[in-house]
Amino acid sequence: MTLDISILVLRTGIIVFLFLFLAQALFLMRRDLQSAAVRHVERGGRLKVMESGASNLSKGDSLPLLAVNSLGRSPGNSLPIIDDSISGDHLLLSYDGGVWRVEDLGSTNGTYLNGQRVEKAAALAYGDILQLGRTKLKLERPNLD
Amino acid sequence: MTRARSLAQLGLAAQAGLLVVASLALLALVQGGSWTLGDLTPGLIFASLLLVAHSALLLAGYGAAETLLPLGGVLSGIGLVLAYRLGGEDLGNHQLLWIALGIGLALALCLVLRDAAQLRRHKYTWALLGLLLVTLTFALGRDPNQSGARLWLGAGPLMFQPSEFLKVMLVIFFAGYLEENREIMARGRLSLGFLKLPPLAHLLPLALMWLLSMLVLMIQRDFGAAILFLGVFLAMLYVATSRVSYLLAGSGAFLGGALLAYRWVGIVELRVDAWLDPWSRAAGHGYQTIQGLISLASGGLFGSGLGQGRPDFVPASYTDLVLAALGEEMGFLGTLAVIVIYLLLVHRGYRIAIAANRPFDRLLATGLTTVLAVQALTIMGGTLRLLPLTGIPLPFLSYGGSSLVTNFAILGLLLKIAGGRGLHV
Repeated sequence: MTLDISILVLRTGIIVFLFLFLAQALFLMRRDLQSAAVRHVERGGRLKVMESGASNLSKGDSLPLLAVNSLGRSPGNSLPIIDDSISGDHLLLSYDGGVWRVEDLGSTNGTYLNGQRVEKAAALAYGDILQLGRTKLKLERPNLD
Repeated sequence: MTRARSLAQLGLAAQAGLLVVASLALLALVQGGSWTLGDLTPGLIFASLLLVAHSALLLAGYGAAETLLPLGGVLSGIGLVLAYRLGGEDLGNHQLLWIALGIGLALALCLVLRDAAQLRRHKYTWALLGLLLVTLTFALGRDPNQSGARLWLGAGPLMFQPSEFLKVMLVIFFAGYLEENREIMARGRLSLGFLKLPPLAHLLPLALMWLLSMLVLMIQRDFGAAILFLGVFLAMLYVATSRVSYLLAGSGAFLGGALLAYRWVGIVELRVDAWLDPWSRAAGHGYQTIQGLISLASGGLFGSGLGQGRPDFVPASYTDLVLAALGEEMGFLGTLAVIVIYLLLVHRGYRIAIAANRPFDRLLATGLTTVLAVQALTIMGGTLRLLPLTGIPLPFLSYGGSSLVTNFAILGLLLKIAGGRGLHV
């Protein structure tokens, strides 16, 4: 009789225990996800893909920006855009003191801001269109959620 | 890291150990009416192994070990209990030994390897070594359990399955290769209607990979491994290039090949027929599937309780069909918990891939996680008759040394990619 009861208690206990274990793992992972979410909140803005050419981007994508972003074909860039018409290290886009600046890194096909070629560097505002190769990107305000 | 947080982290590993000890006590109670310290020894050994490895990893700064190691640990712990339950003391002791080796290997990978990217330099060596091992099984393979596939190398008790190690070696090779060539592969030149394919020269690896999986299927009759290799390759190719056309082309080619195999390779046809209609072949090739289904069904919601069911009616229930035994004795609830643990494990793996900074690390983590995910899906699907049954071990749960050691190596590499200080800083 006591044997039966201890078997029953152990059986039930093991299953309950298994689910408690799961709950704790979930709890730990949720915290990890939240902290990751906090790290990725963008401060200054986003780039919306207006035209993607033949690159890996898709029209309509909205890409979050960091304080300093490197755009280009080589995989080491913070925003790699894989397209023939774009140089390996094409341009730098940075946000400092509330101002966005674009700097062309000597790219082969050049960088265009609202249709004008950027000689060395230029300041840009929200709504401006940045063109590198066949790709057109619009600078937008950050999502504030 | 606060002290309370560290304690909570160790808690998860400690609970995994406690679960095994309690389960072994239950088994002893059911089988003998009482338990002695001797019955619990394997559980205590397991618990201390896990705790030592977990504290070592946390001390070395591997934050990802917090959930990854206990998740893998609790699965291998349940596997250990089932090995004792289904295969007796010998099998259980073997499994414990393999778990110890696996945990040791994971620990060694984390603490000795300077950087996961080190593996990239020898990518061709890894691929060659893997293929050499598999070629050896083509020639010298053995089939100790009459499963119809000669997948083992070695002699006597020292048998191992090279295709298990090949999984990791190929992932390392793919990660290195795709990192070098992903730009070209992503570009897309050759247009076939709506499909944009890269220049022919770069389709070659895809074609070779397809050929390899077909060879494995036709010569080694290992349907599961064929799905796994191609699935992992396509997943990594997709992550490297974000081109859906590769997925479509690869899956289409595989389906075509599988149809041919169904026509021409006897064992594939038998497996598929036994999947579509096992009941008319209940005494033959449908036997294993049917026994597995009956076993699962008899478990119901709560199961018969460990040691109180009859999973011995299922052939080889301790290896590939371990899910049926689990479902019978721990019921739907126990099975559900295990499936959610796999889900969390795979989620964690892909999170590590997303967070990785370098393309090689990202590809490696994606590939390794996909290896775990595809294996779990294929064999669980096979057991539940959602897919044709193929001989693939359920990661961490099935009895089998090569598979366990490989899975722990995967955990070790994932932890390494997620980052820690190691011994070198």
